[in-house]
Amino acid sequence: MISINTDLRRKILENNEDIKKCYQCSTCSASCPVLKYDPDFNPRILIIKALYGSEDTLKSKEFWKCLSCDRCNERCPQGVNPYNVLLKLKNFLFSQNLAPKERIDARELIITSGFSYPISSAVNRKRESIELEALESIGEELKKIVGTEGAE
Amino acid sequence: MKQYALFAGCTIKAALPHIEMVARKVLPLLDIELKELAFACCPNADFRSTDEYSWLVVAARNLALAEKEGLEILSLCPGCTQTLKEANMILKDDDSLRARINKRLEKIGLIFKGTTEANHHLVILHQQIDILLQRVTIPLYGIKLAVHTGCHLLMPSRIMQFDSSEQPKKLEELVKMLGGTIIDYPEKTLCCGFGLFGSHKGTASRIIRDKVESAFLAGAEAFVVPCPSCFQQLDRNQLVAKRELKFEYQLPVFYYLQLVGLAMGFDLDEVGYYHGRVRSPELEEKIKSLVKKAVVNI
Ligand code: SF4
Ligand code: SF4
Repeated sequence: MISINTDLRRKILENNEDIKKCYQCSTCSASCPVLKYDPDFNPRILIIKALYGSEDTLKSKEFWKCLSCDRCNERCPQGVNPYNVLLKLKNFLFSQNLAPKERIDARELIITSGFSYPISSAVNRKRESIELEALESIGEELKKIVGTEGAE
Repeated sequence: MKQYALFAGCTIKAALPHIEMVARKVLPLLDIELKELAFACCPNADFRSTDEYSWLVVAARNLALAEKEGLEILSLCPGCTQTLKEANMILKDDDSLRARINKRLEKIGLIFKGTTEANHHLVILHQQIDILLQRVTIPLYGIKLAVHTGCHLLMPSRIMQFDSSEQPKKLEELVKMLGGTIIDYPEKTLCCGFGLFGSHKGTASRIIRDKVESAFLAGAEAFVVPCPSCFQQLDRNQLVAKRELKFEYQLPVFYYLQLVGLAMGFDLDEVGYYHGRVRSPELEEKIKSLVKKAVVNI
């Protein structure tokens, strides 16, 4: 049995009219490098679940396996842009505090330092050893401008 | 000499600084002057997956910094290039969104107008291929290379507009300009799987194994990549995959500009080869003997 979350369904369809055009041909799945190695990740199924606002979508950890390669967008014959649908779903999950901790931490690291890697003294020593300038945090500046839409 | 704002990107800046070093060494010799700006993370696709609005704001800040200097961006990373190009296009096309994003940028004294472009160095070098050809002094004759263009430089093709996403050829052309021999291999367009390495090591390792096996059995002596994530995946992570899945073969990896450096007469040390984890003593000897041959020919 699948339980439908109407809120989720509305939210998904709001900015994603294209998703209704999906005719479940599986071109995205056949093109997906993740599915090739891990059948638990299936973009076609994630799309149909999203379209119905299926509750287990919320609990599924599968979305986060997407490699962002864009191959499904490129090949989808219906212009659904499955990668972007997954992006919007993940943004929704984040807004509901349902994103995995690693992703929340990764976002935090960028906001607080400006970089997606921790800028340790070891990093800067290595840079200086090959005559590159040390990196300095730009987190103070970023803090003034980041925040989800409408957060100002 | 044209000046660009150098966008090295976090992965290169923090994890592979020798690639930044080689870019700073080689690009000025190809009439490309580089200027440093206080760029932040592009930001990457992981960031976008949690907070697309802030993704756009931070990308807009990066673009606005270059606009302020009146410079185009030269990027060393396909992922950064894709973010910057896509954000640029989104913001240029949507007046009301641009106005809202600019409200944020106002707080730090910046404005996005849509007057700059961001491109990967492969795109720029491909446009000035004659200059590249003139500077080759030690052609890489006989070096057998498996080209891996990766995903982000190709797709979305309507935004990247660089090469065919199904049958990419541009990086091969650029390697041939250096004298290298291209080895075609079945898994050429397979994604490197970098994004899964942290969370699903087993899956990522199997992708690496198939990629390496495919190129090795086709006769390649090394990979060539234009991307720091692909570089890490096929270099450092190749050794992890090899340990885990116990395969025999291994292939070293060159970032494209390292090969350009070799072809311009720098040695393996000068192009940062020894910062890579996967080594091939046979290939190293072969590259050293290219120099000797070139000297004899003079
Ligand atoms: S998203 Fe596109 S490619 Fe995937 S099943 Fe639907 S129509 Fe087919
Ligand atoms: S973008 Fe994600 S879902 Fe689409 S093909 Fe690539 S890995 Fe699969």
